Amino acid sequence: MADTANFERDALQHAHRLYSAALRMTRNPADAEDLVQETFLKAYRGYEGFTEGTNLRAWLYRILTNTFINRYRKLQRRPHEVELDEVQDLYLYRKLAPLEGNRVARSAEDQVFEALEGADVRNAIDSLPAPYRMPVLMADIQGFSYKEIAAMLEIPIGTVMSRLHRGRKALQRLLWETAREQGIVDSTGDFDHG
Amino acid sequence: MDRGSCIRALSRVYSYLDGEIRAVRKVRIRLHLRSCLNCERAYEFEQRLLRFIRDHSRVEAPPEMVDRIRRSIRDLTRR
Repeated sequence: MADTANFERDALQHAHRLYSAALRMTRNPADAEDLVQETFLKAYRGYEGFTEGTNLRAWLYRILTNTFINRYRKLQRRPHEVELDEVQDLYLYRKLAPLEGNRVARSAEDQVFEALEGADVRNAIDSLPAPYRMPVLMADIQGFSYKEIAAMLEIPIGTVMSRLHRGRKALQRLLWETAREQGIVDSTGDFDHG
Repeated sequence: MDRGSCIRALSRVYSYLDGEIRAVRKVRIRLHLRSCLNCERAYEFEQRLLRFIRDHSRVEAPPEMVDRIRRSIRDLTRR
């Protein structure tokens, strides 16, 4: 068994971040805590196998993600059933820059970021279907490489890239719609592009 | 600015920001961004957005969660 004091000192400081990721995966606080709990118990049992000096947080994230995937494998299965609408590349940026070649004014950009709150971002992530949400979470929140994501989700790297791409675009559109509800004006409206 | 190089640069914004791009392409993009303010702004925007999403996805865990985890680890060691 691992040295409990060492494990608690080193690993438990990551509990809050793991919980954040778990909540976006499960979308439910009780399930998220359950997932984090199971992650730490597995990590504790496997702590001997952890190479000191390597990235402990990444190792814990990996256990968390694998635990989630194994538990909810059926969510990964039918990606063809949840098709996302086709969304333009760099959707949000282009919404702010009306004409081709136009730069987005800093003021317009700032307005969007000021209009959006943490809850808006979290709701937008949560509304992505799981096959798209997982690559987005793993790349954008947890910081895994495409190769690591491909291995954990057991899908080809090309599929990781296309799901990540489409998931991010869908996320941008959701954020744009939220910002617009907050009163942000479309680029065809009255932004000052100076 | 030459449109072809803008289209190329913008099509690689995420591979670049994700650090999933070959070194030679990375250099080429850097050179392009240095001379093309439009593309540079687009890159900055996407980078800012990614950071914004990451920072705002964080939530506080329930206050007693860590204690509960600590207890279950200690239960495990007692068995």
